Amino acid sequence: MTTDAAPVSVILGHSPGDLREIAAIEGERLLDALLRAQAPIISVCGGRACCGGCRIRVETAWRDRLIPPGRSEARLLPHLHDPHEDDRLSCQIELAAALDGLTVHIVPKKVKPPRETVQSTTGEIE
Amino acid sequence: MTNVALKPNLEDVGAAFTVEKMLFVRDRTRRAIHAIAARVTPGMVEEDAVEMAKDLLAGLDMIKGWHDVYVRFGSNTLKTFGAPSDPGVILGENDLFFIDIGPVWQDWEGDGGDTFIVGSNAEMARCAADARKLFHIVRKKWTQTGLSGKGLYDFATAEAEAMGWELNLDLSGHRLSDFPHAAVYDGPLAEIDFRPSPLLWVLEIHIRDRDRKFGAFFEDMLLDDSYFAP
Repeated sequence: MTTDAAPVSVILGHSPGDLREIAAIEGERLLDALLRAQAPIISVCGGRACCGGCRIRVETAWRDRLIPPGRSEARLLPHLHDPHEDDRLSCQIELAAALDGLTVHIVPKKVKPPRETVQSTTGEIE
Repeated sequence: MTNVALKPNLEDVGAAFTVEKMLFVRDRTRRAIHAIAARVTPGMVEEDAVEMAKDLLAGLDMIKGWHDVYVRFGSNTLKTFGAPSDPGVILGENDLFFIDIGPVWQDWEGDGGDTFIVGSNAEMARCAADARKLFHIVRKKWTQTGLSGKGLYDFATAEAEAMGWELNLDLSGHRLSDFPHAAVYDGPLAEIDFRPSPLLWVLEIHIRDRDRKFGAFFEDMLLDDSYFAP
């Protein structure tokens, strides 16, 4: 991070009407800006696009202004709970001046079901 | 090295933790490792094997992981956890590779690793077999004694040396739980000063030949003999 990098503002929404501005800089990962602002996300895998803990939901108007997901991110996103076409992993988004005002939302936490009997609902392993 | 001794805290689990689910994911993880290995062939480039492994895991709804997917070929088997592989390594006709995956299935973490041989290099075969053998020697020690995590890895280091290998202590075990175990403790098993409880910890064994040409890896949960094939 250099001191002459251009500032970038990110707008973070926790819920409808609850928006706040986060100061970031060009070249920074969105993940790092969100963690610095103590947004309720986690990064277990260290930004390798495999844990999904840093997922955010991009305001639809901004979706096509981001570089599209790479193969790893695109492969993971449909496997996270309650997937949505506006979802992205914040570890994979590098902030640029053109993204000043980028608006993202926290994805609601999964409501965990009560304990149940173990059963496979997915593909068999051969 | 600072030792950690607060057993009750370090062995906490989350609200979703159940014995049955942890064992269920363990089984899926081990079977996935062997399914990946069955699709690896000589002539394959390591990067393609990693993509194949990820595609396979995605098909099993196990692509979410608490760590990345590793398939390491040849000299890259010397690399420690998280280190980038040298690019473009091709699996030879007489070679070895290891797989290390940490999938999260629904709310539960799995973790497993194993090494596989292609062709007939006797030293590579011995290395792969010894990684597995050392895992069980250390695990048996755990079942028979009250050794701490630190004690187990001191023992493993000496045993590896007696076998003629170097043990990589950068891969020295860790917690496993309902996702994410890192919220409880993300440090190594080798730094705890108490006897680790079953089902909550993973024992990792990464050995390297002394000429640093190749290595072998094996990991699984700390469990008693009844959970392993004779």
